[in-house]
Amino acid sequence: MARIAVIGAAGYVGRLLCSRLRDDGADVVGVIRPTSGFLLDQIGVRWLDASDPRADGRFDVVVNLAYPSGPFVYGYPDQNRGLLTQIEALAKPTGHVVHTSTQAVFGMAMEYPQITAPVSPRRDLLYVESKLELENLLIAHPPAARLDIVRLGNVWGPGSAAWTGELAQRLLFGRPVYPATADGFSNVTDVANLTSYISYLALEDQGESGVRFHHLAELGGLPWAYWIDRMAAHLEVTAAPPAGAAYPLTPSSELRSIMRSHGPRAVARQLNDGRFTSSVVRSVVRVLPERAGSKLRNRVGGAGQPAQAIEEDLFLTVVGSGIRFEPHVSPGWTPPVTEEGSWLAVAAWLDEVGYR
Amino acid sequence: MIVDRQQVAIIGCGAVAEDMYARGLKGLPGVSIVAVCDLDTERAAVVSAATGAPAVPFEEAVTRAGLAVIATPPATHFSLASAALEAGCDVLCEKPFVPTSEAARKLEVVATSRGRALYVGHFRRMYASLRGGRDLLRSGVLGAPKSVTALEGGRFNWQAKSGYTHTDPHGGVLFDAGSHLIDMAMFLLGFDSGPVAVSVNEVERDAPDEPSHALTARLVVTQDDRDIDLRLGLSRFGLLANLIRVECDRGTLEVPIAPGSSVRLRGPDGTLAMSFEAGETTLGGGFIEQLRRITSADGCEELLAHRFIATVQILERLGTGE
Repeated sequence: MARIAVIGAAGYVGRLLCSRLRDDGADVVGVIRPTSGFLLDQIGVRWLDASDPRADGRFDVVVNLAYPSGPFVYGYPDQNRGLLTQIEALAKPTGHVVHTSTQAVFGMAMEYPQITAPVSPRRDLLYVESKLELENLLIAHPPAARLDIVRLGNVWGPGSAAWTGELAQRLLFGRPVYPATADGFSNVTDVANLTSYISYLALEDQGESGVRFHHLAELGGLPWAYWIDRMAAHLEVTAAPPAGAAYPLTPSSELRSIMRSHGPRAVARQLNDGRFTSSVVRSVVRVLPERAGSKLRNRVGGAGQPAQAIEEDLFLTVVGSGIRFEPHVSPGWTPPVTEEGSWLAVAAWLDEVGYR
Repeated sequence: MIVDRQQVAIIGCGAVAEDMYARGLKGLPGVSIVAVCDLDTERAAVVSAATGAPAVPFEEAVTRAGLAVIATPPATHFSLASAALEAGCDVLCEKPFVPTSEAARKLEVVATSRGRALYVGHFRRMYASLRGGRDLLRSGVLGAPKSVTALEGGRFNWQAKSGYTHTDPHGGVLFDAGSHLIDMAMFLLGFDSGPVAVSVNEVERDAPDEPSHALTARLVVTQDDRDIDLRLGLSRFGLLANLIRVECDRGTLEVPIAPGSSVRLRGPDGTLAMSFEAGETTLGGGFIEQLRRITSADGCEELLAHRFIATVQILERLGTGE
């Protein structure tokens, strides 16, 4: 029986993945903060304190779902190195690491060329920068003989806060769900397919040593309208009119946005929230002495936590992307959930949790 | 005696103090954080560094301040709020307020006897959608409310520095998210003017006792001969619909738990999302507006402790299972 450690097991994907791996015959241990222990206790999965990853020996497979988070994520380089240390402590040198990353390494609107190879670090939104950095750290310091980097599309399915829940709330309360049209590619991966794929990589796929890249968005060819129209009908509502907003994604559009700001506070906010300028602000905060850095970070509002308005624009930017995230998966794997099955599961979930 | 509420002491230097109170208060014109205090000297030092205020013992903090923010674990709210009132401070107590209606009444007696004001930090009352929904119900356009379904769930990831959310009987989902949710429902219905009668029909939770991480309950809340069937759903395990649904004689009102400006109306002839301009539309905005009202004594009456007695009563009944 394969021993598998799942870092970040208490999250939405993590809990479902642990259950899936266990059902598929693995000996699964979650690696989490103790305060999240109850989330794994509920589904009967053993867990380890992430601050003491050596407590249960080394594992055949380590799946990493974790990434820097928290109120002061501007310090993500330290958090990423902490994660690397954790993975190194858990994985057998001859073993296998499956690291989950994101399609956003190709840009929030998928505006960079898609390659099944390392992507160079660049200044970008904090989430993207930190994901890119962790990918490259793992590639530069492979913690095990085999490293699979799985870049995920938009994770969709029953209980997905980022997409399913967010869309339901937007539809119900009349907030925009798309910037111009809903014709953009949804680039989604159903969470059941995602857990199936990681289980397949961990337990069945006889991959060779070295680094391999996977792009998972098996239902991504469907436009957003496919999901939005069904959900709106199910909730008996009509989608709000298009919003037309989009996050500035190029340096020149960002500069124009800053130029339109009135007053020093507004400019500071723009600098703090900008795709490129926020990256520079974070770099400055990181190199300042702690006390001075702390003052600056408070003044600019966190140096890394985007304002709610920016998150809104980012959501619409992702939904408005007209670029398909092209799947690239092991040929031996077949997704168990079809588009219709995915929708039916979401519809059942909407009813179960009280939307109707 | 009038105290200067713009001179604030933060009592308790956990996550909510650092992430919310320190930042929120620092951004308010004219407001100074004059002291911070915590038994954990490391945590006190962190918040002291973030605010520039000295870390001092409790007794000294409340002598320096006109307003004491009690942001400690719930088990300590009563004793610390009481001591701060006795010391002459106005008090803003973080939710959940206190575990029993008797404790709430005792604190109000202390506040009254000392001529001080006692507030509770239920900042969701500032949300535009909730305030607009309340106005709609008050207008009578939907007829009389008959039943309320209040659902709030999401994977729990609040990293309380003291860990009270997993150990304190008043740190579970009922008193944590539940106190907000119940208060939103009471505010929406206009049941925040005084005590209510509570009849609990059914309670299920994931643990035999509090703290629980998931809970469902059905109860009847009565005030001034108005009976409301209240159905609650709370979870730290996964997402719920995160809304309050009020069934009325002539239609249904749905209000989001999340900050926003809109509600949904459903009637026999159709459905409509309706947006309101007055109020806050972000969590940070709601939190800061609450602090602004209290520190400037402007529109803070609806945050006074007596407005939360119905919430305390319901929590008490559900928490004890009596």
